[in-house]
Amino acid sequence: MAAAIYSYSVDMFTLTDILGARVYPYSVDMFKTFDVAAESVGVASYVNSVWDTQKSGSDKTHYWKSSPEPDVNGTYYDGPGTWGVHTSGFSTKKLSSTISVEEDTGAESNLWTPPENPHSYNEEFDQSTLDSAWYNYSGQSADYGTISYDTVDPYDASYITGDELRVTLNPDTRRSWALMQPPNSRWMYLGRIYTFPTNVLIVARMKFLHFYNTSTSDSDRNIAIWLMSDSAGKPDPANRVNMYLNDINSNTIRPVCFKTVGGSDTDVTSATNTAQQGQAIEYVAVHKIGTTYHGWVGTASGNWIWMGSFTHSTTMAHVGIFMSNSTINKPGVGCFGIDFIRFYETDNFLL
Amino acid sequence: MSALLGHQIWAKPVSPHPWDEEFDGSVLGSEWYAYVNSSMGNIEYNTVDIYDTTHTSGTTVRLNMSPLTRKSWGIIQPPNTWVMLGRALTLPTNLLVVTRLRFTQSIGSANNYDGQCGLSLLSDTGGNPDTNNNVRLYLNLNYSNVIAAHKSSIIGGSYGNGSDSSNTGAEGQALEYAAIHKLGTTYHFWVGTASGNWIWMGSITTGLTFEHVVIVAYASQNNNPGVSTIGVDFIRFYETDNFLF
Repeated sequence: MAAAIYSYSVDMFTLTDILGARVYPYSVDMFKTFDVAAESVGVASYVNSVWDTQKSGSDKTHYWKSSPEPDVNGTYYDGPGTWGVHTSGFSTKKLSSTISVEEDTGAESNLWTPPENPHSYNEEFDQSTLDSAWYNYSGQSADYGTISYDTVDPYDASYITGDELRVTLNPDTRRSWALMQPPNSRWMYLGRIYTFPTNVLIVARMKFLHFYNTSTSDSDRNIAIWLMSDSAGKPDPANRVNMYLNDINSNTIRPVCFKTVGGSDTDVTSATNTAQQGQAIEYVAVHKIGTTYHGWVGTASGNWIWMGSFTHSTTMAHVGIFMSNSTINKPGVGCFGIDFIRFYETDNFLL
Repeated sequence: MSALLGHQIWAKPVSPHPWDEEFDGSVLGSEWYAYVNSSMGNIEYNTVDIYDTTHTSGTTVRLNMSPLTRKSWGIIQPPNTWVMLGRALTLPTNLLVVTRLRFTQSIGSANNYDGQCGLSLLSDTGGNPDTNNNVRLYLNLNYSNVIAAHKSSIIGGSYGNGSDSSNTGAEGQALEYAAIHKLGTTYHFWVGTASGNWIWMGSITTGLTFEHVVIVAYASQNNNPGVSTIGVDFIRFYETDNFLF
């Protein structure tokens, strides 16, 4: 997808409104689906007038793609081709129902925009349940726990035990996000098994709920990307790569990057000069290049801070999101969010 | 424009100015040049590598246009010095120039001029941008453990009119947009955050005629993890005497 796609209910009288100056016919999939009814009502002049309007623009891109020739029975322009003049094909068909129009808004320039060619492991959290590949690993029990859906409640202070991870996916108030809530005083890991390629850049957009206070306790509420090795079919917290969005420590909220080898944390780098409240850190990335791991954090502005790198000789086999809650219930048990986790098999960092 | 996205600063204008550049193609138009230190350089496409520590000399400016990981952006990697990516223009009486930028930094990096990016208008000298006569606005001037927005001028070779944002941290800055607004012979300087709030950085009045509009990119000198990169999403032009962002 090169830009945002919007679906409209249209008929032949409203299509001209949609195809205003902001619609660019050169975008692939612009007319991803036409639902073409069988009625013969003479839409030819209408469609051609649309085309003529576009063609009359000063830009060479104001042409319909003509190869493959538009299919009057359904899908249009659903693949690569050349631009040219469309001269036929609309004489006896009527547009009806819905039309998907790609609009060149500039949305593609944002880090949060879904990529044009997504990796098969990408998760956008835009469905009602997670793919079955995702599991919940409960740190306190050192075993797999359960996932319950549509149960997140940041005002609930009673959710303090068990191995269940609450997940609310794609709520109306935060579309295409997963909101997550582990029990208080526990850490959980929403992960999946992954055979890591030699080079892979893993990027996630996250958020956390904080609370107003004049001070914070260490590790109040944390969210991070963890890569873990495998031990007897389970993720092994003793050997991992960590890139935290918001390590809460000494009245600061700061990103922290480190590795854990045999249970010991080493090569720790953390941002300094960070404030306790109002942090703009939003994106977290771990870049594996061979056995070297680079940590990155990005701000809402899209600026990136390189957090350092280290080598980790242990083979990582799990990728996922770590979350932990302390005992503080303000207003209830802490909640976290993730918009996406994406994978790019590359040795370059062009974010 | 969809009502959903039209309220965003980054959204493409309904009626773009012909000078607008969205960095969504594979190369820049021939009107764009790269100026490195004190001479014209060359643009080399698709060679940006932030882990490369060897790109430290020469006059080649690396540029990746609209990479898959950051569509519709130009990612710029100077040869560990300052460069200008710009074009010659005849500026109208009133002109608002707005750009969206991004920078990389290294954790713990606190050296002066570690890497910066900004927007500058320059006079012409012999067909080249005149580094002795210009106004400029940096999104992220690095010094003394601070990343601050900075505006200043060089007039007749002399630095002046400097002002910085204060109360800023060294890490996690949310500065994102830089704008210079020409109103006759007065130039207003604005920096915008990701939240869409704007900081007026002051104004400069000068009788100089500016004929070059450039993106300034300055690479970090600490080479961690490699030569730093600068990103630009767009540079847009509005012929207006009002600031309605």
